[in-house]
Amino acid sequence: MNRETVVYQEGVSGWESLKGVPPGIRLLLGIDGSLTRALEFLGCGPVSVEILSPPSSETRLVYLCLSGLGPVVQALTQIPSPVSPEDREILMDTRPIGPALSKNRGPLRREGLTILRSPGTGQGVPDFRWERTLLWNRIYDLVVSPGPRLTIREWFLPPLEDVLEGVRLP
Amino acid sequence: MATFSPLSTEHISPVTISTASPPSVLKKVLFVWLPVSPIFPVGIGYLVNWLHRHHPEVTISVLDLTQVPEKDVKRELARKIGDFQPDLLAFSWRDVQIFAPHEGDNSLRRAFEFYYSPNPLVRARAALDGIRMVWKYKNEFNKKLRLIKEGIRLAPQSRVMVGGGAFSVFADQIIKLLPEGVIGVVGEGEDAIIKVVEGRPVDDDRVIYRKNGKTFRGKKEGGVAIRSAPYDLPYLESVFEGHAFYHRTMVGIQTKRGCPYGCSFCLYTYIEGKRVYYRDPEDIVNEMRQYYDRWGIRNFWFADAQFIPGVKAIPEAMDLLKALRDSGMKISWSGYIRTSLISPEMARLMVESGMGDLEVSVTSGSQEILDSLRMGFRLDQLVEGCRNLRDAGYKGNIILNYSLNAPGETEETLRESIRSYEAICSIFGEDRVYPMVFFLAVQPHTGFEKRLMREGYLEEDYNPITLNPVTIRKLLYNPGHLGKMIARACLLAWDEEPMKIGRAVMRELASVLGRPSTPRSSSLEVPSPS
Repeated sequence: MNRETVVYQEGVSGWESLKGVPPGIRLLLGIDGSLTRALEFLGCGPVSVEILSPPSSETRLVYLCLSGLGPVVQALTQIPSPVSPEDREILMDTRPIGPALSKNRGPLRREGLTILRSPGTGQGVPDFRWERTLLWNRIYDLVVSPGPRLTIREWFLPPLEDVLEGVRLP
Repeated sequence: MATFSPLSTEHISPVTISTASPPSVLKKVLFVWLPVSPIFPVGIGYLVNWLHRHHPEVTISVLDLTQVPEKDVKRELARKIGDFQPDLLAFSWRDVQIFAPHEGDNSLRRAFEFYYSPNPLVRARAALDGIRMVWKYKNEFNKKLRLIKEGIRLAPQSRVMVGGGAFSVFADQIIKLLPEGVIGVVGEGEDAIIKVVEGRPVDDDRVIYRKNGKTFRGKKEGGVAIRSAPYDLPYLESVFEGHAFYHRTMVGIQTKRGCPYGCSFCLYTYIEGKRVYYRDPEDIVNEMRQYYDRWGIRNFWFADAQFIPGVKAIPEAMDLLKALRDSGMKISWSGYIRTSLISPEMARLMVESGMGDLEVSVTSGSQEILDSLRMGFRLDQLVEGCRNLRDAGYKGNIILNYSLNAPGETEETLRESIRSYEAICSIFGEDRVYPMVFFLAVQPHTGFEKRLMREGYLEEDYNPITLNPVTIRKLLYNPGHLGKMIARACLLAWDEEPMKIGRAVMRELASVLGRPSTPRSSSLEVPSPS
C-alpha cells in the first residue's frame, strides 16, 4: 500500500526532493498567495466552489472547479475551537476563505508550508474516485494575530495534474 | 503515514515507577477509539503513556475507528484483534448523542420549530426532520454497542473495559446493555487500568460492572497522581498507527483535573471530582513542544473543566503561561475560561502566550440566578477581567454563552442578561462579541437534575437516553411563558440572521422586553466606554 510521504517542510527540509516534482506542479504547490486566483488564470475563467459534506463542524471541505475540467483541487479548512458565528459563516461561504477572513480580522500570514505525496485525498476525507491515486498536496496555516490559526490542506486532483505535468522548464 | 521531522525532541525513555508495582498479568492491551467526529483521543494518549510508564513490558496498540470508513469498521476491528491478540480490550466512548442541540446544529432549530412554531407546515417539516435526527442518534448509539459486543465475541479470552466521557455520564444505562464481565470506568481510568493489568481487584476504583444480574459500583478515594506525568509522544506514535491523521490539527491538553465549582448543571465535577489535581507546568509545556515539533500542531485546547478553577489555581495557571510564553512556540490556545479571575498580570501573560478566541460561560446576567445555579463567580468581576484583557492588548473574539430561562428567570433577569452582553460589548466592541444562546440541558448526576426531580418536573425513574419528544422537550429546559417568548425570539432570529442568532435573539428580546430600567444593586452597570 502506498504511504504518505513528506516532500518539503518549510524551514526544515526538502529542497533536494522538490527537484523530483514536475515544474508546473511545483509552481502551484509553492504559491504564496491565492490559489483560486492562480487557477482562474490557468483556466482563463472563474473558479467555482462546490461545498462538500465536511468531516466535522469545525471544518470546511470544498472542490475548486474549473470550467471544462470539473474539480481540480479539493481543499479542507480546519478552524480551531471555539468557533465563533463569524467563523462558521466563513466556513459555509462559497467564496475563497482567505479574503473573507482578512476582511474581518486584518492581515493574514501564511506559515508552515508542507508538501506531501499522499494516497487519495486524505484520511477522513474519503473520495473514492481518487482513493488509490497518489496525489500532490500541501498544508499551510493561515495566521491572523492572535488567532485563529486556520490550517488548510489542498489536494491537486488528477485533472489538474494532467494539465500541470505538461509544463516544462526551458 | 506522514511524519513531521522531529526537530529537537529526544525520545523519552520509559521511566519505571520507583515504587515496586506488582507484575503485569495481562501483556497485550488494545485501546479502541470508537467512531466519533475527528477529534484526537486525548484520554487514550494519557492512558497509553501512564500504562507504559508503569509497565513498559506490556505491549500496547491503539486502533482508531474514527479513521475507518463506516463500511469497514467491523472488518478493521476483527483484523486488528486477530493480528494483535489482546489480553485486554479497552474501549473509549466519547460521544453519546442524546438530543442535546446547540448553535451550529440544526437540531435546536428543528426542535424549536416543532414545539413552538405557529405555522403547522413548519411544524410538520420539523417533525419529519426530527424523526430523521432521532433515528441517526439512536443508530450511532447502537453502532457503538455492537462494536463493543463484536470485540468481546472476537476476543473471548480478553478482559474488556469501557470508559470515556460519554460512557462516564451514561454508565448506569449503558452497562446494562453490555454483557456481564465488562468493567466500566467512570471518570479517569489510569489507576483502574493498572489494577486490571496487574490482575488486582478494582472495587476501590470508580468502576461499574454487572455480576449475576446485579450492578456493582466501586468507590475511589482521591484522584490519580498526575502531578508528575511526563508525556512520551514518540512512544505513542510507535503504538498508534494512525497518528498522522491528527497532524496539523488541534490537540487537547489536560493541565489539571477536577473543578471546585458546583455549577448545578455541569457534569465535570461528577466526572473529575471537586478536588483539583494539577500537572507540572514543565511536563505540560514539554508535551506541547513535542506536538509542536513532531506533528506541526499550532492550535491547542486546554481540555480542563475550567482553565482557572478558583483562586487557588491562579499560581499554577500563571506558572504555565509564563513557561508557555518563554517556550518561544508560536501557538494559539484556548479553553473554558472564566474571566472573573483574570488580573492585569494574568491578562498580559494570556496575551503574550498566544491565547486565541475566548469562550466564556456567562450563563445569565442576573447575579441572583448565577448564585442559585451555584456558579461561584461575580458578574462584576467577570466584566473586570474582560477590561483587564482589553487593556493587555487582547485582540481576539469573545463568545459569551448564555443559558436563558433558568429557574427563577423573569423578564427583569432577562433584561439583565441583555445588559451584561452590552457591558462586554462596550469593552471589546460589538463586532468582537458573540452571544450564544443555549438552554440548560438536563443531564444526569447534576444538581440541576436532582432539583427538577424534587420539584416534580422530572420523574425519578426517567431515562436520560430516551428519545421521545416529551422527554426531549423536558430535557431541553425552557418552560413557561418565558420559554415561549424566548423560543419565538429564536425562531425570528433564525429567519433573520441564521449565522449569528445569538445577536439576533438579544435584539428580539430587547425589543419585546424594553430596556432595563434602573440597574439593580446586584446586577451590572454598563461601563462607560473608555
